[in-house]
Amino acid sequence: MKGFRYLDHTADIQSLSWGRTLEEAFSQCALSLMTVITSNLEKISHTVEKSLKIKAEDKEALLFDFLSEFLFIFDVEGLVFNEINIESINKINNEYELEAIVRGEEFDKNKHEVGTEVKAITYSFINIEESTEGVKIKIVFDI
Amino acid sequence: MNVNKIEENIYEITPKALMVRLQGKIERFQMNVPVRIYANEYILERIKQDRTLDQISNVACLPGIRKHAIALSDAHQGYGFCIGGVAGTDAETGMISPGGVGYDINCGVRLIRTSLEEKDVKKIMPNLLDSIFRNIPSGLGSKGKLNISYSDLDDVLNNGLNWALDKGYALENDLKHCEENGFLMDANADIISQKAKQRAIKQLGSLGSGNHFIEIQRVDEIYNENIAKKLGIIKKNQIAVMVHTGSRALGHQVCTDSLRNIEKAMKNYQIRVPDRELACVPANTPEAQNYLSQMASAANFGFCNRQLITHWLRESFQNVFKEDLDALDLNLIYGVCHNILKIEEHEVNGEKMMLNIHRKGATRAFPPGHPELPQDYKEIGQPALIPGTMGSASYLCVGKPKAMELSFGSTAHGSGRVMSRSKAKRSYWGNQIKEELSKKGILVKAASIQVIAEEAPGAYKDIDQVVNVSHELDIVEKVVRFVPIGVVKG
Repeated sequence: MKGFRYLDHTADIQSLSWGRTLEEAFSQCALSLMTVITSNLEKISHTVEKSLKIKAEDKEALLFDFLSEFLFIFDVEGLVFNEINIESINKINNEYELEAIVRGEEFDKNKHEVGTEVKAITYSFINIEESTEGVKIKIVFDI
Repeated sequence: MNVNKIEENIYEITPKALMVRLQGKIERFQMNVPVRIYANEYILERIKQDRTLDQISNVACLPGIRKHAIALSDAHQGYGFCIGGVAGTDAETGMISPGGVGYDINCGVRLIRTSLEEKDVKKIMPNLLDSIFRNIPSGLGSKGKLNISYSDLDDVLNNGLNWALDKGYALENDLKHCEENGFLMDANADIISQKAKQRAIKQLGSLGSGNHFIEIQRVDEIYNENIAKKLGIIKKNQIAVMVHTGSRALGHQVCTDSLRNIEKAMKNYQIRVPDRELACVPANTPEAQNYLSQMASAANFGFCNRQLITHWLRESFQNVFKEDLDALDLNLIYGVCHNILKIEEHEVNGEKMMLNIHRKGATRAFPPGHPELPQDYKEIGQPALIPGTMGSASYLCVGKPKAMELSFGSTAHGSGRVMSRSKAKRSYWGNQIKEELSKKGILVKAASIQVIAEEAPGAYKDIDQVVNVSHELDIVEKVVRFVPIGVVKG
């Protein structure tokens, strides 16, 4: 019970991702971001592994900062990922902390699908819905 | 949403309470001013199809907002503010909202005229597009050809087009014919995050992707010959080039950083907003001043980005046509910013006051005589550039006095989308669009075939109707209509 799809948004991309846990839904959400950049994630091999640690004041901000990190890594190191393992999301005092291991490789326009550049992650209509059935996330990416 | 027709092309939503779900809780917000929508029936019907009106109603709730929150005729759903949105807040106590400018700070458009005619360009078009495509980096993750140091980057951020002029990438006339002369002086490179600098250092002089483009256009119709002549447009089928791009990741990261900074600060000022993307603080706070300075720096990067592209365009034309600049002209008619915040004087209820004018997907359109206009355009008004899609027209207009009364001196910035990118991809094939455009005499060269489908002309509103609303309201006067014959997409 995990996955993502895109909802209709006039100008930008709104993604809906879901998973049984917050970690799983966050990971699907990151994959939905990667898919905008390069549509066939299966073409990405695993030559690079990175560990990420993000801290923020609430879950929405944690997601915003986590996803923004992928845009930074893409611009600076040119890396795309198709394996996003979120090991934990914990609330420590008044802060949320996420730890993840991600695997992928350098983007190569001759090997990978050339998608659309994502300018930024937005808070617009952001929604993280947690229930007994699982977690659903709605978020808009600025194109 | 209750939308009342005030008069032809003017609609209004009267201030009311909004009930909004925020982090699972329903909260109440009050609109402080009415929403104004400049549209005809065709456009209003399309605007109502998405959440544009919810978004501009949220903007009307911002503390210190004056007169009205505006959705222009190209308005569509964005994030936080709608796109095609204008809002003015009190210069001292009113809000400064990074979301009211957007991530692509100083995204804008330039129009460069040539002395060439369609017949000179038509046959050689594939070579010309190839040359431009090779010479100007475009598409996903595109990086500029310049290898600049971090201290050069600081110069760009602090000095805008003055840097480009010093380095030989600009002509003096480029500065004169650019909004703000291509330089916002509140810039301060020292407060820009290392992250923003790292993301952008390789991107100076690149087009990016999405809706950004370089278009070779021909003059299709001249509506006002006198004004057109003053702008150097003298005949039908004369060739001009339009460039649309912004400040790349520099602007994106500045907005991201500032949004996070401001949303943390707003709790201290007891400010609540109906959408977290509208995070804002009063203008007279250190956080707002910090954003304005960062925004100015990003805007300077945007000016230089379009300038380098212009420089390389000039090179490509000279190489392909084997003629020099004097013969080819290639002078800048004008350059506008359409995602920016300016502190401007406007009249509200008969009283002159300074306002923080947020333009998000809106083009400044100042009337004749305005002090901000370059000397040679004082009499005709500020050129306002409104591009269409790769399959439709683009307009060169000039600002009129009515713009000051109706829209804080602003007009639309493009056609405005009506269809989502995902639906466009389901509805169109990139290659088919390319073929159809080619039958219409428009050659397209793109870094991504997927982007052609996303940017299909059918995904946008009818540009002629969008511009006609501003023209009929006398916000602007149409001067020249251009149609594309060659397109480079990122």
